Amino acid sequence: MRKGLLINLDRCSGCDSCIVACKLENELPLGHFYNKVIAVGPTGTFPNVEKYWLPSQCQQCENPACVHVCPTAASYRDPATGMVLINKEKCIGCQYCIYACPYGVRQFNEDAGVVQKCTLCAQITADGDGVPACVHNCNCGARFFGDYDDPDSDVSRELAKYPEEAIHTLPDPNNAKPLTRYILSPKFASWKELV
Amino acid sequence: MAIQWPLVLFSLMAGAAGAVLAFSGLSSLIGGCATTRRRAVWTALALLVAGGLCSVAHLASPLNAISAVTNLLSFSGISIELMLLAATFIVGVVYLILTRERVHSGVQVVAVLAIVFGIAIGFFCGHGYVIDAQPTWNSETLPFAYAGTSLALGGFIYALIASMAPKPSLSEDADQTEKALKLPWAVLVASALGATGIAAYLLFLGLDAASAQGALFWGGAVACGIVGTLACAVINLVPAAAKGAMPIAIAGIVCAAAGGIAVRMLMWVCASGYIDLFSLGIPSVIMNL
Repeated sequence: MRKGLLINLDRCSGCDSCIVACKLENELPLGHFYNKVIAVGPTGTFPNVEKYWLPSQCQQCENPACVHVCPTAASYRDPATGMVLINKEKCIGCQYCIYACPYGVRQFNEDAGVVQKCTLCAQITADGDGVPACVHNCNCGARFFGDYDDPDSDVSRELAKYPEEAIHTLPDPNNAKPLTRYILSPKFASWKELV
Repeated sequence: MAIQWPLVLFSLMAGAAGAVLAFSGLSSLIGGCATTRRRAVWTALALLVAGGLCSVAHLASPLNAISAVTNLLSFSGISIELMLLAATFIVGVVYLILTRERVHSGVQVVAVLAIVFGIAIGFFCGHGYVIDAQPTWNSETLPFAYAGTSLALGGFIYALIASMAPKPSLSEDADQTEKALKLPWAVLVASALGATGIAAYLLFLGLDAASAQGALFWGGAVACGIVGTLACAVINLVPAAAKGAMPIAIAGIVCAAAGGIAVRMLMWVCASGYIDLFSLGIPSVIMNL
């Protein structure tokens, strides 16, 4: 099982609702985030300009570098769901996972003394029902959650609607295998690698 | 990225402690002053403890160090550092016990282990940072710079201890004095390794990126870490400098420590991340960003 997010950038309007929903659901204080929305662009020369929004959060890597460097196995990949999670009881706050994450989507919570990141709202999704708050509250219906190995899951059905050239992943520095997929059709904007 | 001072100090102190121990091992093999060696080993143990305390200060809570110790077999960068820290400490303690009890068998083996572990700890304190997600760290020149600057600092610390040791009596042995002459050459080699390590890492960073840090690059890494350290080591070779061995060693310690700290600070301030998504967020009134 490989549970993760699929984000359709053709639909994303950059409204930040996913950030707000995440902060409310996970009770994140000011300055703490599990996700952010990045503006990519505008690029090009008028009138041929383009821009898209890139919601970013833990990419749920299948070969996560954060897990490999963790000295206490606090960062782990749940074999049952494929979700990359942090056991805060085991986290010693060394922050090596923050340095090792190729996407810079982990934060150190100084008050709690632990590293934190997107959990795919495990408190909601752990029993197999429900979707993360960011998916539930996406105004544009751009976010999907499910098992990439299940052809009937939301993510698989949405992916099946698009040609290969519209499906993207973030650049992978060393076989981390990010699971999150982004849909961006060339008719809206060309995908930028960001590196 | 913000400079992690506990890690900067830990890696330099632990690396320098290893280097002092390595110099003690070398002295034991070639036959230097026994009093200097014992004092140097005590100094190395003190530096290891101080460095270890700095390392603990980096964790969210000092008690978390216990979790790191109980997960030694994870073979992560931290666990390798911990294993070497323990091994180096044990070698130092064993050396002190053997020499106090005047047990000669095994001292040579301990001396060789002191050299191996002493150099290894400096290297592996830097090797944990060689990761794909940090392009400005992802080079073996980084642990080479860590090891080199540790050796240079450790060499001058050993030279300072040697300069404070009682002079051998005329009858004791002229041989010992002759062997002591090899120490400045060993310090020069250590300083050259430190200067080479700094230069290699600066070249890897790119001179444009490194020199953009101004005083840290020109003052810390170049003037102190490379020029100052080498100058002290070369002056130390001149026979006439024997009378001023202590001030030269102190100047060398200052330069080597400044260079070691500067190269570690440059590592942190030049860190950019592979794709630092959370730092790319656009300013937003709603999110108070």
